[in-house]
Amino acid sequence: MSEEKKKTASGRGALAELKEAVTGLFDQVVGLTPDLGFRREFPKHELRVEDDGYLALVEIPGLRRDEVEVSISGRALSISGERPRFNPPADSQMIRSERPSGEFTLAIRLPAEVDAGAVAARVRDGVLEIKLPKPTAGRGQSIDVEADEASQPADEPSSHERPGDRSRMPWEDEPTQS
Amino acid sequence: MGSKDDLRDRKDPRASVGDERNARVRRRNYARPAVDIYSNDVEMVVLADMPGVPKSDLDVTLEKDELVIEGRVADREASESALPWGYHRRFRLKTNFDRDRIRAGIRGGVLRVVLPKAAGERPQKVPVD
Repeated sequence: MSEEKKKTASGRGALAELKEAVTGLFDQVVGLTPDLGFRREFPKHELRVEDDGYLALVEIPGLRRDEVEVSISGRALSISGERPRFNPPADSQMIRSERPSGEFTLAIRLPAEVDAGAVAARVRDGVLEIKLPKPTAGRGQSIDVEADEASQPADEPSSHERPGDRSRMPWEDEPTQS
Repeated sequence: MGSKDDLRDRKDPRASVGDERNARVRRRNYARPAVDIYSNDVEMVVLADMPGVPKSDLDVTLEKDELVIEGRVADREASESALPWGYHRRFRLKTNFDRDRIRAGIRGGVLRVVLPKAAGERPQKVPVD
């Protein structure tokens, strides 16, 4: 009885609790936090293997490049943003409402290292295209001796894609001497 | 992905006997775009998510009582992408629209179709003496 009262008095509170419980579950299982606005569909995406690296495609209809954040930390590519909910103009009624909205965070694990400083992203017709070139051997990249992925602290800042950025490259193998 | 029921019994007008299989493969990889539709006294507006479709690959057709939207995404078929090769959806129109003034545009992968309501459909104020 008190349970029902709680629902009517603060339905929002109960819903927020449920959302947190579900989100928490997702965090444990896949390490991602979906917004219920997108339901179980994160932005559809695809990772293509090309000769010179990878190409990540993410569907973000209606969003501009500056409305999406792209960052890379080692082999973890992260894409996040928010699509505002659509509101019809005044004096209009919604007849159908299917398009998703809300915050999204996408984490893509790359199969191999990339040249984080050379990552480039653009948006074309609502598709975010992220080019991730393979690291070029023999290029004088400075190597951080302590950059071992396992020993990096959890709140280590990830490098954002900007040309010329020197990123931490956790090397698993010994780099070849040029 | 949404149901593809509305594609199943439709004949692809561009398919010849030899292309029948290709047409079926193509339809299976076309997605049904999510839409928002709103309406007011003067018009109905359809907004459809069709990411990857440029203006040059978009077709919006008004058949007798159906609005058909179709768009193709370049490179998807060639690369056998798991993302939609294109989008296709039909809407049955119940209202009378001013067909000559229907207009459509696409930007950032979002299609917008504006269907102005015919004069008889618009609520008219009744003068009261």
